[in-house]
Amino acid sequence: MLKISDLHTYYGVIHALKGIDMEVGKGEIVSLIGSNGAGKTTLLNSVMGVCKSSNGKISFKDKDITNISTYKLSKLGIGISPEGREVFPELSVEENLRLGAYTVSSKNDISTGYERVYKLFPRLKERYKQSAGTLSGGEQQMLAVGRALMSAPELLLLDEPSLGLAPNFVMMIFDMIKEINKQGVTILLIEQNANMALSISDKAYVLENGTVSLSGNAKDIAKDDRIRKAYLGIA
Amino acid sequence: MIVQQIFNGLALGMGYALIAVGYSLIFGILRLVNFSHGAIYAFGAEMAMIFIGMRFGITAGIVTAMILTGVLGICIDKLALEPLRKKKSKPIASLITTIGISNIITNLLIVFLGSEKRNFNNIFGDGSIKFGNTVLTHTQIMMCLVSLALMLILMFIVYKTKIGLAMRATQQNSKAAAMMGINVDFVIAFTFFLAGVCATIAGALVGGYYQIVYPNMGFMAGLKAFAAAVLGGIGSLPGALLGGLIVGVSESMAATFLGSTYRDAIAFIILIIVLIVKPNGLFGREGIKKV
Repeated sequence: MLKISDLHTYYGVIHALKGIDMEVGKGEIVSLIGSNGAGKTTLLNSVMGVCKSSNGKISFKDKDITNISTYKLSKLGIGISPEGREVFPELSVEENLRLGAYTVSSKNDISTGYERVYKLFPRLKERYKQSAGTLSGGEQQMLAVGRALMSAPELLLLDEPSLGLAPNFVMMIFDMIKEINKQGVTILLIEQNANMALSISDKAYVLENGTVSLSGNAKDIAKDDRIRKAYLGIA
Repeated sequence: MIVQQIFNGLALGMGYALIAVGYSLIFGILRLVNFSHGAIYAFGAEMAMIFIGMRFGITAGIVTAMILTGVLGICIDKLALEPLRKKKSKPIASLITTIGISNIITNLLIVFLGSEKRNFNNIFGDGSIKFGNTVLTHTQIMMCLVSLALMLILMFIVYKTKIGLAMRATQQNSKAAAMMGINVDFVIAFTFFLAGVCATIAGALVGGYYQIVYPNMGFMAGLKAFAAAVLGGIGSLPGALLGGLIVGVSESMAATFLGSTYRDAIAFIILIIVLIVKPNGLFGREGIKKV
């Protein structure tokens, strides 16, 4: 569904991505793990067109989306829950969700979207009038994921959904990711919490210094000695 | 006497308020004080005069001027400001650019239309209504009504429509807005258009009030409206309205009681006092919330 081939991206003079090859198949959960500065967020930003790539190709459903304008992704069927959540703090929960469905024109589809999100995250329904800035970190993360689902995307990009959350919220967010995947949404998950990410993923890519150092079945990667040492803290 | 001056000031203040919303709208979205807005206002007033003079009829003339001025606003953004944003240049570069644009517009108006003050026919006729000692001209009443109606339309657009929601989202986080599928460049262009439309109506009303139009009219009016916008809390629409009315009323009071020498100074004296007491303005938010 999403295919990245030989992608190179520069941050100024820094060669941040040095030829990335990656593929996310329909219906899969694919996780992208790696330490700070490995290039995870740069890769996501390149997919979103925020960082311009100098070389290589990104395609979504066989359509070339290399260096696309960010705002066109939603219409193509890609939903994004960005790092740091980035909810609209002074707008209400409901308005935030409405913005998620900005590219949806049918009223029916929008109300279906609300129903779906409120069913996944009942907490958001309780607080629909509250402004997003007053929500807790975990609730804001639910809102960011819910907002991305409002456009009924086929592919969901989740950047660090567990960052800075209490352990019970982390568990809950990962359960939700599995649930969303069961509803037929393909998921690309970028995570520092490699342990959790690998436990729910089908496939995984390990990023190191701007290149893919290891890729394959998530279960195999979780068993790999190097990964266990470097990311899982298990000697 | 005082009542009369309050009414005179309110009518004038409505004009300032309409210019002030232009500053507020653009500041809200770009965090940029658009110093070319005074010149846009003068451009709008000149265009309104030209098109009304062409026997278009008053409404058609003003609508044509509104569209032209709105398009001027879009051109300023596309030609001068958007390239700076794309290069991620420092905010001060955009600010100085707007000052330059202001000079370009004013001087082009002088080149093509001449620098002299021209008579602008009173759009609403010379009639007036008397309440005891207080005389309200039709022009003053219409200024208040038209401005108020425009303010309500503007609030409706910003708070009740889809494009308004996109504007508010872009104000708070333009990166996330793009991820939602909002074309941020379009939203910014639309905001410049709205600001230009409001400035034209203000130009036609104030020009009609003083029955005079000239290329430099935007300089002082622009500064006072900027003071009004900051006074009310820049970025806030009700703030711009209140700020405009305060500046208008205090100006007409100052002209009567302190002599007309002080009329231009009073807006800035009030601005300085308010900023000392309440740095974010009357309706201002406490800086920008970070989550």
